[in-house]
Amino acid sequence: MAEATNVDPVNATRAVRAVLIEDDADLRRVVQLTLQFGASWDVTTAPDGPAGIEAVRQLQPDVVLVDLMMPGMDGYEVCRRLLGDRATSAIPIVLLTARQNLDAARVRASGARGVIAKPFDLDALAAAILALCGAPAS
Amino acid sequence: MKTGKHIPAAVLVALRREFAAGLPARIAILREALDELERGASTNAAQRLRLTAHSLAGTSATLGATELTPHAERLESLGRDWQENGGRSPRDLAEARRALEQLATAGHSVAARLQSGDAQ
Repeated sequence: MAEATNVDPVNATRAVRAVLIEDDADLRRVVQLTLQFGASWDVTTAPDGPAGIEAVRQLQPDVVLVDLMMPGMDGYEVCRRLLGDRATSAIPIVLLTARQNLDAARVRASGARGVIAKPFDLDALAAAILALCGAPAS
Repeated sequence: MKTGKHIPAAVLVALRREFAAGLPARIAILREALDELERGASTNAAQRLRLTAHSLAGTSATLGATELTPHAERLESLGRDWQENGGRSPRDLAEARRALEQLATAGHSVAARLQSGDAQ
């Protein structure tokens, strides 16, 4: 198990390292390439919750981006597992969703730093993620 | 963090083309799920309809294929209702079929537009 070495993504002096957990292959590539080209982030992707959790444990990224609605393990469960594991509990999580009628109380209870709604403004995506990471966990 | 850079236009065009190329497969999954639901099949088909439509709604809107988004959202909404509540009225099934056909029609024009590299 890798030791936790994540840093504050807002004040990182090197490339921000992110793990993106998203089941839609097209959107996975769009977000990955947007953050890589647009903000020089180092983005690792995973197509589902279990693979994403394993990637987070191994890579200890600065931030985790999780699609809320995925088949099998959804974004809430990914949050619960990552935040319940001492090896990953300090890593900020940002939820991604296309749902309009989110349960705000459930989002708060998830421990995620916040939610970014689809459709994404690709030019502002990195800044939006960092803005949420700069806020205290709700 | 470096700022002020954007995803290169050529990369975005390539991503949109990939999305367009994958549209028929997504629509086929939706059609198959709806066919199953019309035959009275399980919540499994409703879940497939819901999740596939959900993905399509989010991705289409992000990639500028917004003509698809309302139809995908309608299918997602119907799929969610069927998955959570079970029953499917003939009226709702007909509405889903209509939304799917509208989605397929819009998909043809979106695919042609995105394949040509025009996002507008």
